[in-house]
Amino acid sequence: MKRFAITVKAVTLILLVFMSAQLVAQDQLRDYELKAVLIYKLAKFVTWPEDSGTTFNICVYGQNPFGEALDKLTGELVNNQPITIRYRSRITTDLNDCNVLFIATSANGHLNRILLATSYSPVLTISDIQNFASFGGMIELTNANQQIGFRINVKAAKAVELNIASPLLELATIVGGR
Amino acid sequence: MNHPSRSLRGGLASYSGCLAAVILAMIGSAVQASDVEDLLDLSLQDLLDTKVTSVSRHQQNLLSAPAAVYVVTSEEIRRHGFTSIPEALRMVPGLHVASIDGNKWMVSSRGLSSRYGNKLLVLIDGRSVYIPSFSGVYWDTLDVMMADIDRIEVIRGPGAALWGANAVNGVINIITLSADQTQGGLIEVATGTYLEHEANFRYGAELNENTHSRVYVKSRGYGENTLWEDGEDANDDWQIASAGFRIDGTVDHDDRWTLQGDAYQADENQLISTLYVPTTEVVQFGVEDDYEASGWNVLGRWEHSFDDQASAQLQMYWDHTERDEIYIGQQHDTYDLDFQHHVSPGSKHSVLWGMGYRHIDAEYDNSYVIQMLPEDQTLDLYSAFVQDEITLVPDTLTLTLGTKLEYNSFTEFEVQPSARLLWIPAAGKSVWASVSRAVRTPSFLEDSSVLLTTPTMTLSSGSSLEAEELIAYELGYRYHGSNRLTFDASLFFNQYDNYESYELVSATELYYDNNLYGYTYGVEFSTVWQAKPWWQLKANYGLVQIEMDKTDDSLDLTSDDNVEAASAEHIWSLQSSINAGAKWEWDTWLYFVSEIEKPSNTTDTSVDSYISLNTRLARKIMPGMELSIVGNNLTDSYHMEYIGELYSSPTEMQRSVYAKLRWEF
Repeated sequence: MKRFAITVKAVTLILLVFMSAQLVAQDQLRDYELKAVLIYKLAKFVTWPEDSGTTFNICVYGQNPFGEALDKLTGELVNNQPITIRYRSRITTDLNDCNVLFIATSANGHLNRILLATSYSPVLTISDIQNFASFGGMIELTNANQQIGFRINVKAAKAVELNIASPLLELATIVGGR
Repeated sequence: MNHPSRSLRGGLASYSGCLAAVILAMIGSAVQASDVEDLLDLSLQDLLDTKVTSVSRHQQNLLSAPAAVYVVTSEEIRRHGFTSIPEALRMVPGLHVASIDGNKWMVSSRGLSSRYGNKLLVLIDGRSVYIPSFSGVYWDTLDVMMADIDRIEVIRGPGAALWGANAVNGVINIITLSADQTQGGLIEVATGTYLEHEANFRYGAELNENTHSRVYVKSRGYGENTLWEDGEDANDDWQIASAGFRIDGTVDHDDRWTLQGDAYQADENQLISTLYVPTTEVVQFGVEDDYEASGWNVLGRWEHSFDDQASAQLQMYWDHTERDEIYIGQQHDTYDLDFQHHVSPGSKHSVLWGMGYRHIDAEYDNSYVIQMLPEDQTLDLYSAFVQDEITLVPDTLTLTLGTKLEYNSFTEFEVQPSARLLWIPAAGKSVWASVSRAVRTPSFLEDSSVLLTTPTMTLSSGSSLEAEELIAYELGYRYHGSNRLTFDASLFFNQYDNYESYELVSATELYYDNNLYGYTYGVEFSTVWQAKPWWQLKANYGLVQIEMDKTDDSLDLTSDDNVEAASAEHIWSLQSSINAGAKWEWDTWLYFVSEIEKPSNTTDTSVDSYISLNTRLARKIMPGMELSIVGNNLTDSYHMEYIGELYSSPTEMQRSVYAKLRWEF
């Protein structure tokens, strides 16, 4: 009986440990899940010039790296406007309707033209392409030691009247001065 | 009696303790990782402190690439109404694109122009379309669905460290959109004075949540141009039809795969200027040749991402081409297997290495004028490369060292190293410099053939033809200080050795050899200015100077002068793109090419400088539907752009207009 109880306990323990290990494996946190949430959080620190749109448009240019992570933000509020997610693969005037434009790594070759096309509109450009903030992008997401960080080009944002609040700037590396 | 009970109680306590610990661990892990919904409640600081367990590969920024890179985007292709790849390449500074006749193009990078622009490697979605028989590209049969192109990346200068032999003066990467980016339908129909018809259809559908596909069918037909001077019909009308598919899928985020294929069939015409019958005095002038070109290919690619920014890629393809011209019939089967692995050992290194194997079966149908000996030939190519991108100062100074080692059955081992330095002194400014070596390996034609250049003169393969060698020195500067004006400049000095010569060994015999050497140098500029929210201006300029010489023992009488005289020194273009409201688009571009003294060694005719004016006006007539009108070569009724080697008849390209309807649904 005693031996039986010990065996049962041992087996349940092993099973539980195994299950929790499984759970951890399934709950692996992917960088793009975190990046999706960071985009939403970042947007709350940015002020757009008077906005006429009824929705807050987050656009992804290029091959979508987020899976469905970004779509889960749909309906959350930024500036009291509900978020809508739009996927873009062409550089047209439509890009100027984006409040936030995330440029996927697949669109690396289009970077210059995208930045030129949006250079007169208050579009917050975000990307994780290397040196993005050094070459005219506004917020670059970086990876170091499995943690996400930011490099922010304040001048690029100011040029289109986007104001980034100082608590966010304090967490970032500033590129090209304030 | 107490003992067992105590022990049991103690056991229970420790058991529940363990259980609690496990449950806590489970809850802990759930809070730490888990869903996007849970993460939303965390503060920004907490999010930044969160560790991610799966990190994707970092992407090098093309704006800070230590090479002369230029990208033609899908939007430029659409807004200029380009119906073929070579037309789109006119947008690239440092490239010379010329129509020889309606279905032949000469494309060269940094001078050394020739129809068989043998120093340029062209890839479509990773598949090489370089023809090993004549070393060059048959541009007519690159029948890509223009609307599905994501971008054309052009690297001027050697790309040999990564891409291998024949990427001497440039690499052109034509990259199409993944299937998930081309969902839905697209219909394009066009007709005009020269482009007689164009009809394109594509449909993209989701096969399941993780798998997307597209299929396309397209057809184009062009009319005739006119012969130089006498204005007669050039017999260069042609048409081509293609169909293809692409499927892209993901498996558990970490694996991506692609399966794609195309097939095409072209009916083309050409006018052979002169055709000789050997050892007799019989010469036929202006022979009309109605020929067919067809082919198909299938490619599979699999990419796996590891958790630590590492990734691996395996790609294989089979490419079949056939071409049946009056002077030779050719058939090629290329089998290619390619593996790449990217790792980031430590924060300072980013290493890409890979291996490849390619097997080519070629089969010829000889004629009087070209005899491939034997008529069946094969080529095996083994290669390996490694490249390390070393961060010397984070975000400021990067050194990229790389080399490719290749074994081919013609010239055996070839080593092609490169060193590239990138310096970002301040935000928006970058300077790069590079030194690299590249080779051009002989073609089947140069390796084993007899070719009749006149009724009494043969050109045949030398006994031990070597690879042509290049040592290239490059310097570049980029300015992206403001989003409204960008500027890119590059300087190059190319030193060639073992350059191909034609040795006159007797009154009736020429042999291929490697007795030329020399250098080329030049500059390229490109700038883009977003002048107004609705108005973008671009300017490109390329200059190239060529100095060639021959070794003292060379019996080649003319090639050094011919090589110098075959390229245009100055090429520039100006482009204006205007959006008038949300409905109208108006694009205009000028293309200038300076005089070409002697475009090929078989002609004494020079090609005058010319400037072409082209324009496109488009209007959105309803959501997804666009009507456009395109005018090409508007300034003159016709002009000549280039003359091909040996058999081509000098042809003048005409002024043309076409109208196109595009409907996306």
